Amino acid sequence: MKNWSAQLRKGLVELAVLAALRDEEAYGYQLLQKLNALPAFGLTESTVYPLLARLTKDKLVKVRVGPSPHGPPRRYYQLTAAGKRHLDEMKTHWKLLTQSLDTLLESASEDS
Amino acid sequence: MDTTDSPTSALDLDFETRSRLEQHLDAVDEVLRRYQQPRSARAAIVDELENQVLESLAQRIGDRDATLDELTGLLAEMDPPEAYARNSIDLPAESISTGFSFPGEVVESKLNKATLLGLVWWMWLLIALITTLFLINIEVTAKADYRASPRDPLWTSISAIQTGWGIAIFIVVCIPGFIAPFASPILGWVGVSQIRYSRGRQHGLGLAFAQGALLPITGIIAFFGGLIVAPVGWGIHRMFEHHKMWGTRGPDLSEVQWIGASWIFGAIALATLISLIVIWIVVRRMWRKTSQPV
Repeated sequence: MKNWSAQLRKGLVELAVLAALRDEEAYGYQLLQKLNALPAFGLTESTVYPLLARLTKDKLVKVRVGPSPHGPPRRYYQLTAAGKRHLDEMKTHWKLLTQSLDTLLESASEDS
Repeated sequence: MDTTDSPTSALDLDFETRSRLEQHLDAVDEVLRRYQQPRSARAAIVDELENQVLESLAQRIGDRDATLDELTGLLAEMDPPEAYARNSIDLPAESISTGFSFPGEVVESKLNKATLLGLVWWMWLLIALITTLFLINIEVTAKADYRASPRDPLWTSISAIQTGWGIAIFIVVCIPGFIAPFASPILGWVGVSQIRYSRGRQHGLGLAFAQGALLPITGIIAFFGGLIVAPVGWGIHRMFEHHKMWGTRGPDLSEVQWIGASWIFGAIALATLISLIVIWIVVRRMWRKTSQPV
């Protein structure tokens, strides 16, 4: 059960990260805190930072480097036009998936 | 990407604490390197991590200097370096989403498509050459001048390549084949690049390299061969011209043949030797470059 839940969350990380960057840019740690403020996730840096690097490589997010009061320059991530399109596609797919699952779960609960 | 200079760190760490942080960051970088994350991605991930550590410390202790114990405590709450690989090994979906592969994950290696296309194109050149020879050498009968006597035209023998169907075959089959010496090396280098960046998902590096290097190597042979053989031929030609112009007795035919043959064989041997040395150096350097991981 635990593994299933973790698998599900991992599969949704990309959607969650893109959705979190939809309206405003964020630097890595800020994004991690934003995602972890939501009850369902529980993501750690070893998942989010490599994903951000991959999204940058795939040109789904772009990076603006700004000053940091503590360490190396902060990397502010924001969605590119391709990233927005990708997010919209994922959102459509996700909605369809949840609707279908809701239908299945509702019919299952009616049967029982 | 817009760049801004990094400000000096406001959070001071003593040497020992800084070393502990560097040790953790190096360990994460090493794990990422082992799993073939590109250098730019590794640098970005490690920078994010360093920022997170320093910002978390600042949130906890304010502006005062962090101690080694405080840093160690914080690092203990964070993912260990091996988590950058382990999380993904346990969960294959993650390895796909992060874009690099892990031990335990079965990766089916496929022959690079550009390389395969380049190979097929070279074979097409062979087909084009055979077809062209066939079209030139096969003779067909055709009406020589049907306007002079439409009922009893003169018949003549022409090469198949001069007929309408011969030209059509030449355009469709032969011309694309003759492009191979230019297209295949380009496809070879495209293949080399794609295989290097595929992180083990594609193979055929040797074949792609051979395709990519074939034309440059032919160029080297032609260059050094031409550079040495041509002046020898020109010198022999000038010797004949000189004797013809001044009416002087030149060397005997047997003597000329012997001198010419020795010079030409010597020149060819020298050209071959220089070409082989240069090819060896070029191929070795190119192969080392292309074999390096990216």
